[in-house]
This record gives sequence, C-alpha cells and structure tokens, in this order.
Amino acid sequence: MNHYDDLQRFKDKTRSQALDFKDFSAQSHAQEQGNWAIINQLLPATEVNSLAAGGHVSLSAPQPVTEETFAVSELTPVPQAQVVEPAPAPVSSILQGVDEQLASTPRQAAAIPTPTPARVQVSHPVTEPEQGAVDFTRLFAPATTKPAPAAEKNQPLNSLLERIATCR
Amino acid sequence: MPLVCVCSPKGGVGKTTMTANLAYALARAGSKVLALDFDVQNALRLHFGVPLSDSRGYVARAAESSDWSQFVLTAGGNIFVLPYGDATEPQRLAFEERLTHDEHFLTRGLSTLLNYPGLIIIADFPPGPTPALKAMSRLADLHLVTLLADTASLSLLPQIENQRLTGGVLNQKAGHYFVLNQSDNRRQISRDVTAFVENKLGEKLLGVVHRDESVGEANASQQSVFDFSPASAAAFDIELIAKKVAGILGVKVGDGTVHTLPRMSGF
Repeated sequence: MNHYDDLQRFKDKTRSQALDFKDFSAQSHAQEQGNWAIINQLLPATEVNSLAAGGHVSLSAPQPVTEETFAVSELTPVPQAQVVEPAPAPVSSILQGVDEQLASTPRQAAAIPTPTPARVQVSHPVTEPEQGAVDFTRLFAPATTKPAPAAEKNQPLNSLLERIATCR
Repeated sequence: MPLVCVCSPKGGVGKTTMTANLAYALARAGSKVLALDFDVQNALRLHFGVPLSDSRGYVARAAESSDWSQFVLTAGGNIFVLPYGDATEPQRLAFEERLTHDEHFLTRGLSTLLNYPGLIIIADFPPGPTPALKAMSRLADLHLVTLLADTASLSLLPQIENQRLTGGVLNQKAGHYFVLNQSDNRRQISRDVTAFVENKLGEKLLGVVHRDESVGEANASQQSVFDFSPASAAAFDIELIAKKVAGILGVKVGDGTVHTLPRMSGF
C-alpha cells in the first residue's frame, strides 16, 4: 500500500464502500498531538471534563495541609528511647493491679538460680578463650537438655488470683 | 531545617525545574521536603500537579497572616509546596516592601516551617538580585546557583564572585555551589563551556545536568522527571546533585530519630 489512493482501491476491490476505514499510516500518526497536562488546561473548554482539569489522572490535585501537619509538640527532637517508654497513663484500678502483678513476676523469677552450663565445660576442658575471641567450646558444645522450669509453674499466681477476685 | 536557595543572575536557566526536581529527589530519599516559591511567575506549583487555574498562594495574604504554613499544599506523601499564588501589583509591591524593610517578616511567616525538625526547604527565586533573595540569604544553609552551559551564563560568573546578587557573601554557612544545566555534548560551545566551568569551579560545581527532552515533557505533564522518565539522563544527574546537597547539609534519613510522637490510637 504505497499509492495515494490505496484505501479507495481496496474499497473498490472488496466492495466495502460503506465501511469508514481509518488511515493509520505514518504521516497521519505524526500529526497526532501529545497529551500534555499544561496544554490541555490552556485549550479552549470545548468539552468540559472535570477529570481532565487536574492534569494527570494518576495524581490528585494538591490540597491544603491540615493545621497539625507542621505542629511540633516539643521543639527538640524526641529520641526513640523516650517514645518506646510507656507513658504513665491514668489507668483504672484493675489495670494498675494487673500491671503491678505482671511487673513483679519476672523479678521473682530472676531470683531463682538458672541452670548454668557448667556440665558442658567440665566435659570439654579447654583453656580460657582470650578477651574478644569467639568461645568455640560453647559454640560447638552438644545441646544440653534443659531442665524443665518446674519452679516457675507454681509461682505467685495466688496473689494475682486473689486480687482479681477482689475486684468484683 | 536545612534551607537551600536556588538562584541565578540569569533568567530562563531552569531554576524552577531544578528546584522542583531536587525536591522530588530529596523526598524520594526519604526526607520531608517543602518547595517554596518566591517568583511572581508562580510556576513552581505546576511541577507538583497544582492546576493552572488554581490561584492559591501566600503572597497575597502574607502581611495579614503571621503563619504562612497554612498556605502549604500537598498531594500526600512527604512532599509539599508553598505557591507564590496570584498576587496583584499592589500586593506584590507590599510584599517586597516588607521583605526589604521588616527584618523579621520572613522569620515570622516561615517560623513554623523553619522550626519543623528535619524539613528540607528548597526556595526558588526570580533571576538576579531581589529583595526575597537578600532576605532569605540570611537564613539559608546553602545556595545553589544554576547556570546554562552557554557563554551568556558564563559571562555572569564574575557578577556572582563580585557579590552582586545580594550585596554580600552569598551564603555564610555551607557556602554557594553551582549547577550547570542543559549541557549538550553534541554542541561545540556547550562542550567547551562545560569543560571550562569544570576546570574553573572545581569542587564548587555540584553537578552537570545533561540536556534532556524528558525534562520539558515532564514539566508539560506536571510530573517530576523521576516519575515521567526514571531512566533519563537528567533524572540520573539530578539525583546525583541531590545526594551531594544532602551530603553537604548533613541530612540523615533512617537514623532512628523520631521528630513527632507517633499517633496513639485513642484508647
């Protein structure tokens, strides 16, 4: 198809004059306009399309910021550690009670002597590693069977249960 | 509150485009960034998707409002724009008059934004010496002078060295740096100017942005060059400049600093 009347000859040949063919050849493609947001906004408003007014469809038009966007409670930067720290919030009595109870439990558990890997060191007597060196004896030691934490099972649940019972 | 001023003795060198794309680059790196417009052309906003018909801005109401942060616009995310807005001739003259004579005018209007920790402000100025540039230079941490890779820009280099932009040292803190814009390797004059500037300015030249169609096309689409054409030469060049700017300013992202307390659910 490299003659100027190609389309017409094609129509005559195929007897398809009724069909409205579109010419997608290179020349007509070059005349097409790009879709530029700025030009679209300056074009005379022939067809009012609210979606086209904002420029790019994938971008929402910028809106004013809310008042608290740039409001800083303290002018100094808040370090991470302070944020993580639980704030002493005014909580109700039951929560306070449970909180105290939970806080006291690990302290009591820590008081119980934990099993030390003394047995391992006895079975593999090696010279003491230097400061900063990797302790290979510990690293490659056979896994010791952990003694069941039997002592923790009957820890001071009684006082917690009592407290919960009195809250009713 | 790092504050960068993008200025030039010459017009049409791409200050506004540089400001916008630098803001996008720094925002992509994780910083909160505000692009601030001091140019009556009011074109900076267009780079951030603000419609052409939108006339909002701070200048028209700068005198009566003490806090200009209420005029900041955002489409969400960590990038913000404070447009100059549509201002009448008397409003513009009144604004410039206040800038010239009221020493605290800028500090007052921008205090919320200047005091917001970690917010990088990049200000765009009209060409040449202006009251806004002079007033902002006192607060700025860094000046970025944009030049084109042609002899017209080159001939204005002595003006900058002779302190003709603000009548004094351009920047007292980190100093002033240069960006060479629209360098074109295919043109003899552009090559020669680029080589000359690289030799003359040395470390003061932060970067060279190559001439790139995608910059203009991104502007026409109201997008950043990073969104429009992420693999373009200009996107690469501007990203590099943004990294250098962040390095000079000592911007640190992701070091665990929390500037505002996180929102608690209302329990």
